[in-house]
Amino acid sequence: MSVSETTPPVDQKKDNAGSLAMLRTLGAISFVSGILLSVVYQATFSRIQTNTEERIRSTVLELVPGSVIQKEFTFFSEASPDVPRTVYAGYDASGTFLGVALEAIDLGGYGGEIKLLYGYIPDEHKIVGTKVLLCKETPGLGDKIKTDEHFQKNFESLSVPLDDSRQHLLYPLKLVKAGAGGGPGQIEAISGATISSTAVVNGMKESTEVVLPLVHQHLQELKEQGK
Amino acid sequence: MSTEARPLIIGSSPHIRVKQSVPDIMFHVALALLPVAAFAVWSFGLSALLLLLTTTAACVATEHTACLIARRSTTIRDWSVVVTGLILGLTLPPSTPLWMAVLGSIFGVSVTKSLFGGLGYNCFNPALVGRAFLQIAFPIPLTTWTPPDLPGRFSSLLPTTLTFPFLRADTAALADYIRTALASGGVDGWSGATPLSMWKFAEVPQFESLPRLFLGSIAGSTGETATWLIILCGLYLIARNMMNWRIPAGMLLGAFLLSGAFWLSDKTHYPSPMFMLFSGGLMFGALFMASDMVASPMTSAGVWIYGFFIGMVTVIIRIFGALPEGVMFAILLGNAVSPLITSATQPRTYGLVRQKRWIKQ
Amino acid sequence: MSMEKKGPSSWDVFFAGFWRDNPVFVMLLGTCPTLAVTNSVINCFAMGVSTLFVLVMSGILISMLRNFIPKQVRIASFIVVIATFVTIVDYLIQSISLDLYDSLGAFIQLIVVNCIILGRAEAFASRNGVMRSVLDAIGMGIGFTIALLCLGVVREVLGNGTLLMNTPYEISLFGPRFEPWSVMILPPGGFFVLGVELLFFNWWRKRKEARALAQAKA
Repeated sequence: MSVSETTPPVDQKKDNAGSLAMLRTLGAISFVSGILLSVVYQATFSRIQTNTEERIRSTVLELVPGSVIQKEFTFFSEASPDVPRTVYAGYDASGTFLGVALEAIDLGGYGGEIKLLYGYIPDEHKIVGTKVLLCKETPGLGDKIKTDEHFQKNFESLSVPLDDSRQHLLYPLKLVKAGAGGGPGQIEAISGATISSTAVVNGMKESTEVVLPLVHQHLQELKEQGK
Repeated sequence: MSTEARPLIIGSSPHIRVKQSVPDIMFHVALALLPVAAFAVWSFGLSALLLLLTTTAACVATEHTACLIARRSTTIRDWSVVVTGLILGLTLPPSTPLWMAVLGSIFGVSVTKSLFGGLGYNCFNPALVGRAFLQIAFPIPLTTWTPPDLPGRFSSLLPTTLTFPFLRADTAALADYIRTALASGGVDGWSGATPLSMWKFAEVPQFESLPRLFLGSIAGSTGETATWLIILCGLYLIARNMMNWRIPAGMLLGAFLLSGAFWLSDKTHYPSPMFMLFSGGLMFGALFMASDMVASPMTSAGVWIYGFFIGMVTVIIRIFGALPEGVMFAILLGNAVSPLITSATQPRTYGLVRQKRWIKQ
Repeated sequence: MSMEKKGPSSWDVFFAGFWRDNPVFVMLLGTCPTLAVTNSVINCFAMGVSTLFVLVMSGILISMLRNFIPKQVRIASFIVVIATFVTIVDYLIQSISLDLYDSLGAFIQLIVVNCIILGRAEAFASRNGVMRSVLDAIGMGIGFTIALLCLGVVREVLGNGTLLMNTPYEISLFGPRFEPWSVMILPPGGFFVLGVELLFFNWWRKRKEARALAQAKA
C-alpha cells in the first residue's frame, strides 16, 4: 500500500525537524495504522465470532448427551444480582429438555484464568462431564486438566444433590489428594498439578453452589422453551 | 586499671600460625557428617546407604570429569566435593531413585561449581542447587516419604531405589511395600507424611511430639531426622573453629523469633517455635548448609544478617508457601543475597569518616 | 535502489540471521519470548511464524517511510507500525484457531516489545531499501524460529517425553513409563537450556575462529 502521498516530505538530513513535521508524521502513521486495523477487525470479526460460538455450541452438544439443539438463557441469582449466569440448555430434535451446560470460571490458575463448561442433568442431580474452554496453564503440567483421564473421571458421573432448602449443595465440592477420594463431592487432584486442579475445583464449587439452585428454580421455563 | 594483667604482646615477623587449610576443614566437615550418615543408614537401611554412596561417587566423578575437560589438575582431593555429595544424599528422601540422585549430583556440581571455576567461585551451595533441581524436576518422588525403622530395611531395598534410568518411580509399589513391612511389624496405618506436612496439610493441624522430633524417629530426608546428632556434630565443628557459629545461631534465632510471633497469635494453627526448629531440615540446614564458607557473607555483622534472613524466610515459606518445607529455598535465597550483604556491611577503614553510599568493590 | 551504499550482497543479508547474526544465540535479543514460549514445539513454531510476519510487514513499511520520518520521532513511529501488525496477527490467529490463541496466551501481544523487531527496524529497515529489508526480515525471522525450535525440542522431549504435543501429530518418544522432568517445562528449564546451548554455540564459534586463525598463519 502506498503511504507516501499522505506523508509530507521532510528533509531527513535536517536533524532538527520542526514540531509540525513530527506531528504530521506521527499523525499520518497513526491514521494509516487506524485504517489498517479497522479493516482487519471488520474482516476477521465474523470469523472470530463464529469460532467462539461454534466452540460453545459443539461443547454444549457434547456435554449434554443426546442433545442436538442448544439455547442460551441468562439468569440472575439473588445472592449476586450483578453477575449474569449463562445457562446453555440442550434439547433433542423433538424439543424435549435433556440437560444444561454451565460455565465455571476461576482466576487462580497457574497461568491466570481457567474457564470450563460442565454438563448437568437436573432430573438426576448429576454432573456428567467437563470441557475446558480457556486454559493458559503450563503445557505438560497444568494443562493436564484438559487431558488427564483420571481427573476427567471425577466429573463423569458426579452426584451433586441439593439439600432440603433447595438453596445449597448437600455435599459441597472438595479437592482431595490423588488416590484419597471416593467420598461424596470429593474431587481427586492431579498429582503434580495441584494449583490447576485447585482452580478447576474452586470454579466448579462457586458455580455449582450458585447456578444449580438457579437451574432448579427456572426448570419449568427451561423445559417449556424447547417446545 | 592494671595494665600488667593483659600485656600487649608484639612480636616481630615472621609469625608462625596454626595451619588450617581448606582440605583440612573439608575433611573434618566430612568426618562430622559421618555419624549423621550412619544414623540415616541405621533408620532407613540399605536404600539410604546406597543413596549416600551414589551421590558421593557421582559428585566426585563429575568434578573429576570437569577438571579433565578444563585441562586442569583434579581438585577432588580437597574433600569439598565429598562433602557436597554427602550433603546432597542426606537431603534426599530415602526412596529417591538412584538415577535421579546421579542427575542431581551432576547438575549441582557442574552448573554451580565447575562452570564458575571450582571451589571458592560457587555463589550457591552446589548440593542445594542439585536438590532444588530435583525437587522441581521430579516433585512426586521427591516428596514421597518412608517411615523410619522399617522391618527388613537391612535385607531388602525400597522398590523405587533401583528404578531404571529415566523411567517413572513406582510410588504405588513403594506404598505397598511399606504397608506390608509395617504389617509384619504389627503396625496398620501409615499416612506417608513428615511431621511438617502433617501440620500443614492435615485438616486439623497435628503437631508431632518434641521428644520424637528430637530423637529422630520420624519420616523425612535421610539425614535430617536426628536433631540431637546433628547438633552434636555441628558443635564438634564449632569447637574446632571450623565453622562460623554466628550463621547457625542467627538462623535459629530468626526462625525462633518469627515462628514464636506466629505461635503467640494463634496457638491452634501455628506450631510452637521449638517444633519449627526441630522439624524438617532446619537444624541440618543451619549447621551444615547455610554455613558453607564460600556462599556466605564475609563480614561478622553480615553473617548475622544472613543467618537471621534465612531463618525468617524458612518460616515464611513453611507457613505461607505451597510446600511444607522451605529450608532449601531459604538458604539458596540467602546465598543469592550474600554478596550484597557483604558489600553493605563493610567495616569502616580506621580513621575514615563513614560514607553515605554503597561501597564500590 | 541506486542510492544504496555498496554493502554486503543480498545473499549475505538474507543468511546473516540464520547463524552469523542469529538474533537469539548471537545477539541475545528477544530472550523474553524465547524463555517463555519454548516449552512446546508447536508454540515455538507459532511464535516464530508470527514474529516473522510482523518483522517482514513492519520492515516493508518502515523502509518505505524511512525518508519521511524525522529522527526525533522515529522510535515512536516504529512502535506504532509494529503494534499495528502485532494486533493484526492477534486477530488473524483468533480467526484461525482459538485453541492456538489460548496456548500462546499473552505472548502474541508481547511481540510488540520483542527487541528483535524494534532492533531490526532501527538498525536495518530504517537505513536500507525495501528489498533488502524484506530479505533481512525473513532471514532474522527464520533465524529466530530456528533458535526457538532448538530450545523447544529439548524442553519438550525432556519435559514431556513427546514431540509436537497438543497437535494431531504428537509422538511419544519414551513410552508411557517415562518420568517427565517438570523443571524443563517450567521457566527455570528455559534458562538452563538457553544457557547450555549458548555455551555450546560459543564454544563451537571460538573453536572455528581459532582454526581459521591457525590456517591464516600457516
